[in-house]
Amino acid sequence: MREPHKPLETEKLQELVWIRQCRSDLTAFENIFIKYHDRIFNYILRRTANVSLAQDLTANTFCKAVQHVTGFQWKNISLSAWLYRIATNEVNLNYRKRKRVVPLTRDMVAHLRSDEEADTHLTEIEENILKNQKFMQAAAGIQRLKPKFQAVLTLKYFEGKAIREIAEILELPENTVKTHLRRALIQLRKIL
Amino acid sequence: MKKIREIENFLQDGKLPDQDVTPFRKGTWRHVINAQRARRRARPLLKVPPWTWALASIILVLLFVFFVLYVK
Repeated sequence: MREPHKPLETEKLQELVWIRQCRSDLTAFENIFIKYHDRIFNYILRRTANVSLAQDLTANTFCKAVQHVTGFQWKNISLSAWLYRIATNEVNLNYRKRKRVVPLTRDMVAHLRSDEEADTHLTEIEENILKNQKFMQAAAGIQRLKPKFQAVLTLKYFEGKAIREIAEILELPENTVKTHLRRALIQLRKIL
Repeated sequence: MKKIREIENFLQDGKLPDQDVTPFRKGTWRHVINAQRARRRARPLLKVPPWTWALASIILVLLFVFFVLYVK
């Protein structure tokens, strides 16, 4: 007797339907976008500690995803991991371009406030970040590491991903992820 | 120097809680759609299905082979 679908399998099937629909109608991508936007935005926000930048990089992530979604194949990777992979690449690309992402200071937030067109919600989140001293300290330390170490630490401790999931996102063997994690922690210990 | 376990705890405590980023959704979606439309306008050849390119390549190769055989 066939077992009924588990919720996770139903979810995957639903995503598969959306991906198939994207082949004929790209507006079907909106379902995927709505489902993953907040998660990807928060991930990028934790990596960059900068709301405006996170907004731009989230947009870039979904632009890339919408371009390649028709070629997306269900092999060994979930849609979620695929989007995290694109987001990680976007952050790393930005990191290489700018060398270092500078978290917003109180002066910059004050400047944003004086701008009439500044989004109030954006300012609220900036304030939330600045108030969270523990996050600011952790983010400042992490941002001094190499991008590959930043990614592994953020995914593990901020996103709560398992080693297997991180390996899937970063396209690395699980043992390599464990090694990166250990080295990243050792380097962070020296910094802190 | 701190122990690794302390660093791990420090990172876990430092996790930024999920922020409500729903208000940004609309703007980001508009950006994604506009970028995709602009890309399609700029590169109309992308609308051609991939199998067309495969077929065109095969025809070109065959034409070349026939041409070489004819010249010989």
